[in-house]
Amino acid sequence: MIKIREWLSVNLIPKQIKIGKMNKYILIFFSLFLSINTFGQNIQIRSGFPKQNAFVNEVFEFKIVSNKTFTCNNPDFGELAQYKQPLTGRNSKTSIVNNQLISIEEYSITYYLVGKEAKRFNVGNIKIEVENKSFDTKATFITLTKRPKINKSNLGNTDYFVELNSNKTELYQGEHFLLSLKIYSLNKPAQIQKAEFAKSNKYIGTILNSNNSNVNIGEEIINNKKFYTAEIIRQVCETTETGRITIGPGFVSTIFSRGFMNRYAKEQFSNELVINVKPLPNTPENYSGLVGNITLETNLNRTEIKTGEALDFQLIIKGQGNLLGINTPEIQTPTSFQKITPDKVDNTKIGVNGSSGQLIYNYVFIPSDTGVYKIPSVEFVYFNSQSQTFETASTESYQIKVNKGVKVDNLEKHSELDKSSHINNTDIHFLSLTNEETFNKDQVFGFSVKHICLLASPFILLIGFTFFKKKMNSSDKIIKRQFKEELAKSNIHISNAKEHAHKNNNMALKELSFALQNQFQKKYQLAQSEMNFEKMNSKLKANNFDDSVISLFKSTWQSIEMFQYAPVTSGKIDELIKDSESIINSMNEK
Amino acid sequence: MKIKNYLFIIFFFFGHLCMAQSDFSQAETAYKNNNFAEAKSIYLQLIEKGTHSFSLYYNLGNTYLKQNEIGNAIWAYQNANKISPDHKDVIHNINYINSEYQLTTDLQNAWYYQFLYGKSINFWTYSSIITAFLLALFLLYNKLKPIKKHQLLKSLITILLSLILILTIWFSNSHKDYLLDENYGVCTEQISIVFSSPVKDQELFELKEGQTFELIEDKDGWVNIKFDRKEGWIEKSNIKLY
Repeated sequence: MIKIREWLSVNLIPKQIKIGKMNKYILIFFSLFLSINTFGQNIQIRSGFPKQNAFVNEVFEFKIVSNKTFTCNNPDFGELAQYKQPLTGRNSKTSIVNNQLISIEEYSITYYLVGKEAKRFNVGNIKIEVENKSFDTKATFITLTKRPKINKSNLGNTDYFVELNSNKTELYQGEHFLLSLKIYSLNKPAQIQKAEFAKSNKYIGTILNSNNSNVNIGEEIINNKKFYTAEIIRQVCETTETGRITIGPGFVSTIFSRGFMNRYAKEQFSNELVINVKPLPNTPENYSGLVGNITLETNLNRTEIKTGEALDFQLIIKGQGNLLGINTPEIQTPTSFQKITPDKVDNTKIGVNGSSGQLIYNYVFIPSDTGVYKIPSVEFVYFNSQSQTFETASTESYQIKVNKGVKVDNLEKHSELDKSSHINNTDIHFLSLTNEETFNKDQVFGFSVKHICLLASPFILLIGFTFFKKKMNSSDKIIKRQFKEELAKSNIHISNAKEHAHKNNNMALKELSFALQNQFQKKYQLAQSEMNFEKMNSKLKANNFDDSVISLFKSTWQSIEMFQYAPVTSGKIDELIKDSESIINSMNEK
Repeated sequence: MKIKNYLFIIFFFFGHLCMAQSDFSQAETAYKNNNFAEAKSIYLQLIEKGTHSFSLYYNLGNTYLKQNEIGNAIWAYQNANKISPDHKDVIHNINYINSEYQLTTDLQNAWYYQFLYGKSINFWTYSSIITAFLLALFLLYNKLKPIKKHQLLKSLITILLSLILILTIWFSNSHKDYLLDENYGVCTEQISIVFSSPVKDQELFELKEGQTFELIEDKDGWVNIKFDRKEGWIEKSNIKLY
């Protein structure tokens, strides 16, 4: 330091300047040096809240801006909670300074924070990293105050607020109440982006209308100002505790339009509510836990039954209240009745008064012993929130006569059959195999060679028959067949002659004559006019018959002609028949 | 000699049937006594011998189900469904499995399955043969007694019989393929890995026991399958085809 001072005093500082003032110059010099050094890096960082005051549960911003890209990991905002993911941004500005175009770029991270208490929240130094160097932002703070209760007489300068309402502030345990979120705005809302109730384990809620896009917008004049209003969301709730219960603020994000294509969002928490949940007075032992107003109905499919048969018993709970919290009612049945877990049919719906409709329980009882039994009336004790008293809904009792029927010894003797045993006993049917037809896969012969042969066989037979018939119908064959048929006629005449012989010899001779004529006529195609001895004899000779055959024909023909006019002996007629037969056979053989 | 042969065949057939019935009764008794393992063993022996019937597969399915062998039970029920499609007991038990084990097993029980395959194994084969004979007889009658009247009616009858013949032949072939071919499969192991190829190179997805799939190819102890629009190879030892 002394050396620097000496060097400065020798070289830079004018001699007129007293040495006592040296320290001041050195400090100025160093300040300048450090400033130049810092700005030489050209890194600018600024951070903080855009406003120093906000309301409890209001979403406000914390912004870090730099002219260089930077990162910020897990910043610590103390007791302030981050409402949603931070938003990174980049902004570019261009301006002309001393006739030079200067471009400035800014990088930012915006954090959305919310505080739950009315107090001052300090935010310490937040570490950020710029070009691999670590920097700290300035510590700052924000003061949160309780939002003044906004109502129609105390609006102040508010142009937009969200109101949480309940239809009941005093209610009994188990009783339903309705929460609703309503927005009031001087500008007409364009769309509801998000609406939700605070979550709590002190009550259970069911949203009634979750469709934010279908909101009816109304108008209300408050303090001479026209507010657009809309009930955004409703929730039916049931408390799980008694005492004073605080319902946390709901949240609504609304989108507004500002001119054409310019939209902006307003995110707002509502007020809190406190409701007083009173315990039920002097709760009876058999209280069902239901608060509301109900009636009971029962149905029984029959009052006379056989052992082993199923008895269908139906219990219907109708009305309104916290129906969904009801446990399956226990039906008191005789010990010999087996009970199967009942089916529950839920025909209820949630409305502004809680759930209403009917719950149907279908029970199945199977009696195992004969006798007359009673199913007692079903009683249901509930708290009527209107009359604020405990009431009892009850049904009629039934008398059941059980006759002897199927033995049910093999059924398991427990009160409620579970699903698997139910399946074991009834659902998987075991088939009897008596007279069951079995087969071997080889027996399946569709489209096999055997099948094709059997299919083809009638057609093959048909084709064969057609072919045969066609062949039979050809001309030569017809002639031959006709010839054979005609020749056969000669034998018929011979047979006739044999029949007539010894009885009517003339007829027998005529038949023999016909036989020979027919033979010659057909064999040698002789005309009727040619049927004389000479012509016939010449035909025999022309066909080279033996002389014996020719002479036999000659003698036979002449004898036939002769004996037609003279008596003939029995021996002769037999001889003529024999000879004629012999001639015909000889001719056929040729 | 011929009569002796016929008698032998008849006795052999009925003897075989009686033997099968005796085994069935034995299995039924074992089942009723909750001896499912013995019942299953008898049913499987019968199937190995080449005996098939709806009840055999159905009861085998029940024994498998009792022993919690879901994949095998589905295989048996699917075979029972092939023999007698749209059987209410099979549908019920498959639905039971689906609901109990979160499966989506589907049965081929559309109306045409019942129509085509709900008959006895050779119904369509015999129908086609009978139709062939009827058609041949009708043609023969026309040949022998050519009547010029009612030509249109005769043509219609001929066309109708021909059409029935073609359809019954087609149905017969289809029924045979349906009974004998194995186009689907079911996973019988608790978890089976499906690979991209039969060399276990890349695991594609897993099959749970009881999940059914379509068969694409059967090759060297591996099968190429299609499941839920995905294809892959699975070891044949982990599945059963039906």
